[in-house]
Amino acid sequence: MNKYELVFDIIELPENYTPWRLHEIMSDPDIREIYVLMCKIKSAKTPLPTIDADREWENFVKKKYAPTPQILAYSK
Amino acid sequence: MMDVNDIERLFKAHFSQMQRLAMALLHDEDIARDIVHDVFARLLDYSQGGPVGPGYLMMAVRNHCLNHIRACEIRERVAKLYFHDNDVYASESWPDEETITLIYDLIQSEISQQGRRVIELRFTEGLPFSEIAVAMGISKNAVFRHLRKALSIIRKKINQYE
Repeated sequence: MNKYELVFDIIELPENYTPWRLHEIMSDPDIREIYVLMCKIKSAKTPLPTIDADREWENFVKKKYAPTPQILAYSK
Repeated sequence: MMDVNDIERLFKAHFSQMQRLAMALLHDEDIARDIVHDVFARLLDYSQGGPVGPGYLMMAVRNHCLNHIRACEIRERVAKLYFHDNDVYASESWPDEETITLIYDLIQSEISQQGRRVIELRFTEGLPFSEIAVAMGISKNAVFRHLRKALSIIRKKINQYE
């Protein structure tokens, strides 16, 4: 497995690696560079949602002032 | 001291930019939204602290995001494509809009159609490589080849700019 394929494998199946092994893999400067580039590509290619600030505010207020489940249970 | 109307004005003026920053760091719309909400929830809870500006809000979002990332163990970081080392966020002042735009433009202009499709399916749609292979009707090794070539080109071009 070359360095690129190793990075592809760790991002897809990190559970196959121990934390120790992942740190060891990341200690290779080439692998680190490829991995960091992929992190940046992820940021560049993550789709941004269309934002309606008025609706977001309404949702925020509802969430902020919603009674907690414990309070609801207590009030019954 | 700010009242709820001041905070509502701040929210509506800056939510979009704050959400964008959180998404660039965390790549997840729901977590990004929760973090921005948390920043405003704290403002409401501690509104006696005096007026705040956009610089404070962006720094608060960034700090909340970095705290979230710090709490992830390495396997979760790798799966979510967070930098493996917190120092990278500080040393590169990431996210850097200029680099994000450069990478986006390089993908559009320098990468083959198949390379772009692999990037789209992996990084935008979040498909595993095996499903990308099925979607494109090619082998998983061919998917790796397209992605490796695309990454090599982007890496080389970015190094030329630095």
